[in-house]
Amino acid sequence: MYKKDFPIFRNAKFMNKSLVYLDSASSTQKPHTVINAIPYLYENFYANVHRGIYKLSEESTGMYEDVRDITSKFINASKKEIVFTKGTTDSINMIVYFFAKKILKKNDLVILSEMEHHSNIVPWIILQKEIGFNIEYIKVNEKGDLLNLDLLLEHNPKILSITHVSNVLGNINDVIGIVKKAHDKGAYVLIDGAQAVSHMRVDVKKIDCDFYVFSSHKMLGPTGVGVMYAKSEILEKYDPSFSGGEAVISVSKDNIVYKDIPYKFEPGTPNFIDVIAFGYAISYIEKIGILKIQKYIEDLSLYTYDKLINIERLKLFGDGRKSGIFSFHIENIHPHDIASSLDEDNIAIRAGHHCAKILMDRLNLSSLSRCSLYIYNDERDIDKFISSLNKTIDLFS
Amino acid sequence: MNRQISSQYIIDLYKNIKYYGKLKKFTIKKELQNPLCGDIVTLYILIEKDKIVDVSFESSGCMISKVASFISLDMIKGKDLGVLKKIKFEDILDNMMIKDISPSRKKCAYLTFGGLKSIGEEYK
Ligand SMILES: Cc1ncc(COP(=O)(O)O)c(C=O)c1O
Repeated sequence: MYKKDFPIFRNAKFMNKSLVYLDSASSTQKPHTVINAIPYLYENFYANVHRGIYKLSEESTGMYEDVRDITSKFINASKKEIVFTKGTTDSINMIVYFFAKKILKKNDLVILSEMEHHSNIVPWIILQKEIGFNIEYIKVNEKGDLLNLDLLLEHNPKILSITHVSNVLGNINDVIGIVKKAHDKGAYVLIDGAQAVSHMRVDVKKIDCDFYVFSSHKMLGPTGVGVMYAKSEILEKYDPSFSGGEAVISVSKDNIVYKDIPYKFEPGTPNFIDVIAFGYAISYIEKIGILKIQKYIEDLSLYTYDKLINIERLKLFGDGRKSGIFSFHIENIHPHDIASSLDEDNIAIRAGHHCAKILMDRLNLSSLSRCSLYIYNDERDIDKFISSLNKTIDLFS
Repeated sequence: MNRQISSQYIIDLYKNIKYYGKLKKFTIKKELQNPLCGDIVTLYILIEKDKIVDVSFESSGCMISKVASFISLDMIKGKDLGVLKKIKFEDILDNMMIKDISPSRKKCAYLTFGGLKSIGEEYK
């Protein structure tokens, strides 16, 4: 139904087979409104933001700031709480350095979970080496349940950082409940929303998290843009960990006065063309309606799930029935071979460790295959996928 | 163009893999990891008087990786150590009939070859 809005499906044919794209958890395809926005902006509106006092610059500044407005409404934040970054990874690293580094001391505790993407693990380990705090991981089972959160919270962590939706298991964590429990113990909470924002209504006020981060490219927008939401009290209280032009009001040899939030966290020329195009992506989502998208993906996920569980040698991990993220293993066939074999039918799925080595270790696997859905997929895509999968199994047995 | 990784030829090789398992007696054991996927291949080589007398491997890798281990080892078994300097990656791809395989899958095939090359360096 929505496929026609995405030019890639008209173009990326292979040996006359149309593309079946089932790797949206890695990055989504782009609708033509987003794609066309980019040359349109360069050709008609290009001038740096927040600088000029001439028309063009005022126009581009206006559009850039409009996207901040659209984004804040999209997740129910206020405008000054939206900081544009390069992506989820960039957002998490920023939080680790402007915030966590200032509040963590030796022997403090940070809680992560075993289902985190490397981007929510590695920055913490780097800082841990510097400061010497402890990191504990919430244990996860094959179904994707979080096993010992309450127990770990008894140790009064300073920070809890966890994903909203697992990029491997597909589970949707009860972030409202988790944040409440963590706050009761006095911990700050960072939620990695990379896999969530494109799939469900995210309301940061309702979740009450201190930080929420996500990437444009996983929600129909261009690459190179992300969002760091942080509660305004926090943004106001702390200085940025890196800075430069445009983020400061005055600079003398012994004093710096920063701009108000969020600008003090956006030094340098931002990736404003892509941010503006990101605004088109959110508008596209809003035009369909995020609840309608959620329902569409849930229905298609159930359709996919019913077919997958009927494949005898296939084992599913986690629970993708609401998120459309299905990771699986097929007895005696390596995930790379599955992905390559499907690729011959122009079906794109992901195979590998999904940047989640700690989770793979927990599951005792070196890699998994994953199919992940978005609105341009339909039942025909799933039928082709399942039939190619069955063909692959036959080929290898 | 032959991008077909699931060609009957490679699948036949895969189903008839040789040298799989651990050698009882070996002089070299080398563990290799593909950083992209985390797959691990362990090579065992028995050398007597500068001659590669026996070879084997263990692997958590994919079909391409395993067949490449088999083919690479097959190309050095029974030869003098000097063969490690001479083997070429293209020859391995040739022998597997996957010359046009995609770049990401080439890395799967490269793992054992790269390991043999570094053994060649170490055993100068
Ligand atoms: C759960 C999760 N967190 C973080 C990231 C990293 O996002 P990015 O690569 O856009 O920085 C991803 C991307 O795969 C993800 O799935």
